Amino acid sequence: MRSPVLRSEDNLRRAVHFRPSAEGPGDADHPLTRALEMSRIRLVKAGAMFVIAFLVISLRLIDVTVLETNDSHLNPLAVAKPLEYSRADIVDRNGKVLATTLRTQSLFADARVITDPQGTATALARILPDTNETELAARLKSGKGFIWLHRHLTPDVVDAVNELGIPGLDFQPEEQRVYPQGPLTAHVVGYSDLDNHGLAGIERAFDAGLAAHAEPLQLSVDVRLQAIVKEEVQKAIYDFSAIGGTGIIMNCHTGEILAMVSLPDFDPNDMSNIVPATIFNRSTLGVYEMGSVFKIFNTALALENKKATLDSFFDVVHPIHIGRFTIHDYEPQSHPITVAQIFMLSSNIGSAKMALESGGAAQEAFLGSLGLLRPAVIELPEVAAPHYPNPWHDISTMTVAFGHGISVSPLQTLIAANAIVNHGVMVPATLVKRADGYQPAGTRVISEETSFQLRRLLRLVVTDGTGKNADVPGYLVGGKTGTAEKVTGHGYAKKALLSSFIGVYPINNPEYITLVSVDEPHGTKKSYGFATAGWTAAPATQRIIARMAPLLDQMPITETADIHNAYTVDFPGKGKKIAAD
Amino acid sequence: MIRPATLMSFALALGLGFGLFKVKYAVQGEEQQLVTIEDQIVTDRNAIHILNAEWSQETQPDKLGAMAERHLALAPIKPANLGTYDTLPLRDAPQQTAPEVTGAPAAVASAAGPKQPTLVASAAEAANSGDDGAGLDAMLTAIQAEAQEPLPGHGMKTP
Repeated sequence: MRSPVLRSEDNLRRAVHFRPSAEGPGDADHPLTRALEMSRIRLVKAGAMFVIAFLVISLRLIDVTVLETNDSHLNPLAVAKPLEYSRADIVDRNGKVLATTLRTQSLFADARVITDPQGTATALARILPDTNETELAARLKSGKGFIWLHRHLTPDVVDAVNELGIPGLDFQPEEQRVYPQGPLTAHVVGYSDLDNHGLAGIERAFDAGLAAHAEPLQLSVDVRLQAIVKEEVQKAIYDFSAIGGTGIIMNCHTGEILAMVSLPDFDPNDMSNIVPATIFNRSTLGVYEMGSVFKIFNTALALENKKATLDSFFDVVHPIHIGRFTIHDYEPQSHPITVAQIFMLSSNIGSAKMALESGGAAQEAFLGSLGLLRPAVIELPEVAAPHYPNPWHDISTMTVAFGHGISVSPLQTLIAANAIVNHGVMVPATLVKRADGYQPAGTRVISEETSFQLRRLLRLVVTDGTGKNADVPGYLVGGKTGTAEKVTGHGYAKKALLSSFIGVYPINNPEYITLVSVDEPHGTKKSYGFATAGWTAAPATQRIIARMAPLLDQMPITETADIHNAYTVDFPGKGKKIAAD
Repeated sequence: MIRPATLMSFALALGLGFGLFKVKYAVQGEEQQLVTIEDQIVTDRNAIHILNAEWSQETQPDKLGAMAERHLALAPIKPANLGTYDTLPLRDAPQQTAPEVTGAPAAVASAAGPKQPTLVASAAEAANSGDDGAGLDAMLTAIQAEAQEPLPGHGMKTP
């Protein structure tokens, strides 16, 4: 650095007005000396600033070249942009893709540019699937500027069209919604239109969310369980020549729906030849008289209101005549039976009498608290409102007791039944996967004690009652059958049944609850001509539980004497059950 | 005469200029590479996206089930096939468990295929034919028959 001492002749370029006087440095008070001093200081300051700036630059240069400090935070370029699709994927609880968006090419034509419409139509008709030459020719002759010729072409067709080299034909890149699992989850996932707007199911319920987010939507459904339920319900439909069926599995604690099947189903990838009957979601959009499964609620009401205990007797010998109706039993009894027996033998007369003890108002309020008098709450647009008596007469009270005169969806029946077995706590059902370990708080609808008594009764049905065909050794299955005669025109049809079974296991601390309904089953030789739930829906439930439990890593439970005694119900005529060793 | 300070400044400027030049070109090169890599990532992600969809389609449970039935000697797991290490006998212990299940050990002996599936398959067959308790027993019998070769889970020796 230059010496601060001023040497007058050194720098010839020095600004003239800085030149010191010939007398040399004068006294400090001289104006010239002051000016000189000030400019020197300024010069030094400016020089220092430049030096600092150069130092900074060199240091930074050393930093990036020699030290190679990692400063990726300064460079957002380095982050690859995520793939942009107009609609997020839908995946199952294990991440398997249920709905996704793929890029495709759609062919359009500018008829003003096409010189030979007929020739073009002939060539295209040979390449494009499902097209008609005369129709194509007519459209190409129309002279319009934009004509869709075919949406969503496969790559090989795109190549073939390009090979034609006809001017006026062009491709528009588009996106297509694809459902890799096909019909398996059709009613849950739903489907969307050509322009990727959700039309049904989750696709419709989460339409805006799927369009706004890139993250896949994870459902609570497990495709493996879905496949098991579908296969077993299908088998029941086939075996008993039924017209349809439903199957649902729900986690008792979290309310997550693990499987929801409605048969017959449809392929959402091919919406061109769909019949309305297959799109119809029987689990949520169908409302049915569920029959004797309602005795779960009826018995819970009587026990909760202290109108009866398991040992209370009711006279079921004579059918009840009221107005033009007659309430009778499938297995008429010659003597009064207890509440436990009424449940086990599924006595309509006994159930009706139990309901009258509590009264219609209490019954209506109770069913309301179980969510059976309003549409089920679930993330699907296809939810039907239940039909129930209005006004609620005594005859209604009696028929509702055994599940007639009230129509509800299978899903809401399952949700309500879960509240009864899940220690009396009702949890909201969901089709969206809950965070690991999260359990919704739920609302208490009955006491822990009533829930326990009901679980004993459900176990009794499977060990000794109408649901024997649902037992799976090692899993302590409990359940209730329900065989309802379907309303056809005027009154009930003896031959048209809806056979349902609600299964729950393990009964001492329920983990999963299932519902299987078979629509209009017909008896076979194997079922001794029976088409009731015990022969149709109960065996299907048995097969479902036997297959799902190992899949979910559930070890078989040893039925200890404690469990056995707790869940064994004694009643007259049956004798004391000996505890298992 | 060039003063040392001027010389130093000159050298510094030269050095800095050269350094800057090098860095600039290095950055340009890197940026080009970045664009290439980003394109590659987009292509790959697209491919992964399509493959995911295809994988889901190819692994539809009923498709897998049909293939397993055709090509593998495996049956769906039954509750009776499940057990824990605690329920398995010690290898050194005398053969106190496993009632004779005819067919199961023979199947193991004759099968040339991989060991584990054979075990499960034969056990599953036994479970099919007999009562439910026989499945686990058959599995145990099969494991004992296999005892010449150490199985992956031979740590069960220690209680």
